[in-house]
Amino acid sequence: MGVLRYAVNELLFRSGRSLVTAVSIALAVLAAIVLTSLASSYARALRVPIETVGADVIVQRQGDIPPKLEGLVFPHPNALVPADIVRQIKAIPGVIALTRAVYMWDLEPDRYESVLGIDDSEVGLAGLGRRLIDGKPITAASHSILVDSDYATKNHVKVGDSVMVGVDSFAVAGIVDAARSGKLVRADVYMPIVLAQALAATAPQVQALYPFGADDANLVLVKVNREQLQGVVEKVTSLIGKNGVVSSELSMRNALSGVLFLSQSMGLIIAAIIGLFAAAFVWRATATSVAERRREMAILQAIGWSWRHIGEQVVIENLALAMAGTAAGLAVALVVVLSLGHISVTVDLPWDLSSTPHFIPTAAIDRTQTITAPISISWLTAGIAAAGSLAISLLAVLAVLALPRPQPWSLLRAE
Amino acid sequence: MNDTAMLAKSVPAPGVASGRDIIRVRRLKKHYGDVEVLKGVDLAVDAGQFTAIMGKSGSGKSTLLGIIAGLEKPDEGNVSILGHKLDGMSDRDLATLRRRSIGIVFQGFSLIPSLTALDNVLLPTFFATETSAAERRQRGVDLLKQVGLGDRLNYHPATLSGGEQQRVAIARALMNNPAILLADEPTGNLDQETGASVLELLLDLGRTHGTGLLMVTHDPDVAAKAGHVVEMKDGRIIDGHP
Repeated sequence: MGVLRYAVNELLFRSGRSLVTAVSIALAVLAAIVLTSLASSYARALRVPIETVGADVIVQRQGDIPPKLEGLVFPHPNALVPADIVRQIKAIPGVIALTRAVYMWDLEPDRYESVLGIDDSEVGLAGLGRRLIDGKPITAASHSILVDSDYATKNHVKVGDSVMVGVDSFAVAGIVDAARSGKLVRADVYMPIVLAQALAATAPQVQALYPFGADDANLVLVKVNREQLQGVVEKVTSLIGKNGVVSSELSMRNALSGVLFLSQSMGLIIAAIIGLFAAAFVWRATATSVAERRREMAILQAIGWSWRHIGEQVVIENLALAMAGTAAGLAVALVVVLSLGHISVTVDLPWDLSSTPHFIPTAAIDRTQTITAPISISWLTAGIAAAGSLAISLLAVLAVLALPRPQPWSLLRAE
Repeated sequence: MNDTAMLAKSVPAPGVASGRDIIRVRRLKKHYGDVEVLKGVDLAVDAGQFTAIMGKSGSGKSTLLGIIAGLEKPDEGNVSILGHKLDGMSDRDLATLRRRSIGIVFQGFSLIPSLTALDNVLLPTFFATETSAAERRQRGVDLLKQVGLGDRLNYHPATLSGGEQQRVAIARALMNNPAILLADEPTGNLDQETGASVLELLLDLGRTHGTGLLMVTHDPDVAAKAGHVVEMKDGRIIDGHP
């Protein structure tokens, strides 16, 4: 216990230097934790636009603009995805589930609506059923439709009314709030995929571009084992061909890298630079302290301490400072992260994830999306920062003690 | 094996000399650069005896004391402490020998400023395993009482006078009940009255604890109290008389 009491007394006796050293360690730990936590949050935010539509991978194909912008048309990022390709995607290892959809615009002289025919899956009709705010859900076999609550309000549509899609009329079975909690592709009108496939197969402006069959799709939502995401994306990209658009967390990362000024690697680089400065400071503070205490060390040698005992004493003092600095840095990092709570970043969504007809003023929607992601401390980073600060303190002592030892008698003698 | 155990077989118990000579110095030589500070010094100190080394500044007396303490290496010759040659001893063994058998008092008071008087006295025992912490603390308190500082246990050096600091240093030197006490001008920084008082204390405690005392001093009055006086000049002992 004597050596610990000595260490504490010594650190308190040199309180100014002790404080500055501990603060420099705390700042390095704080920077490492906060910057990497922020960077991780930005990385999480990258996934949000994809998660909004309830899939890990969204498969589309770039097509052409129809000869006439009238009636039912495919948006140009939603060209034909043949049924054969869909089956091959479903068979890729790592694919957990697949949902087909047909996404269309209905461009009429007096109105516009976006139409989505979709499978009866969690990100399709089943999910819509859980967001019902009026009426009843529809199934794959229904001949009725659901409409979005915004669309219903804007066009005064109620349950039981009929809505024209192309040249056909459909009864409104229910009204859904698709925006609530995301996880769905947004559209004004939802219907079973077979109805949409039938409409597309007979739509002149669709058929003018593609030989769309009754079993084809133009939008595929794929749920993937996240560990195999990269492999699945590569295989899907290969299958879908050069006009394919395969959106995923990976493509978003590329697309949004310019927006995200603080990437994960940038956070690590900044934290490493601060860590290096802290290491240099700790080394210098240790060297100065040992130099100032040369006479004290000579006294200790004279009263029977070996150089190893003295080294251990300095190690204890430095480790105590490192632990205090680390604890302080961690505590402040916790406060900072808790007080920030979350990050918000506004991104301009890529066209293929927000394919609304911007050329129709009443239909154009804001293509920016404000993404909010919670900030949480990476305990792995905190552990690395703590171990790093202890290692730096230890190495600083070892480096200083490896220097030539003072001659004790020359510091103590009377003459 | 801990360091105490390493020397336990070879170093006598505290306060007990292995024979008549507790210090034996033979043909000791030491250079600092081109200057030959010690030119073949021979010296023997008996157990329990007070030996004074006198001489002018630069005569080599402090260097001799440092070599005897194992804090300085000679160029030639050898030193035996309690029958053990210092030559070839490791830093660890030398430290153990000092801790168990040698107490040192310096001209400068040489206390650790961050520690209290009691902790300074206890410093040589921080790695001791033979006695309990409570026993060591009690001995430290007793020693501080013996040097008249029983009411200053928790005072830091900066709050003590020079004489009081030197008393703490003496208590610390006696903490492990050493066979040998080395003193390098212990009264040199004190006024005459305080110096005399500290000297009396040193001699009294040396007698009480049966400790052999080897003291470097300029002061003939101090030397007059010694049982054996050695005079040095230009790195040689020119006279040794009882």
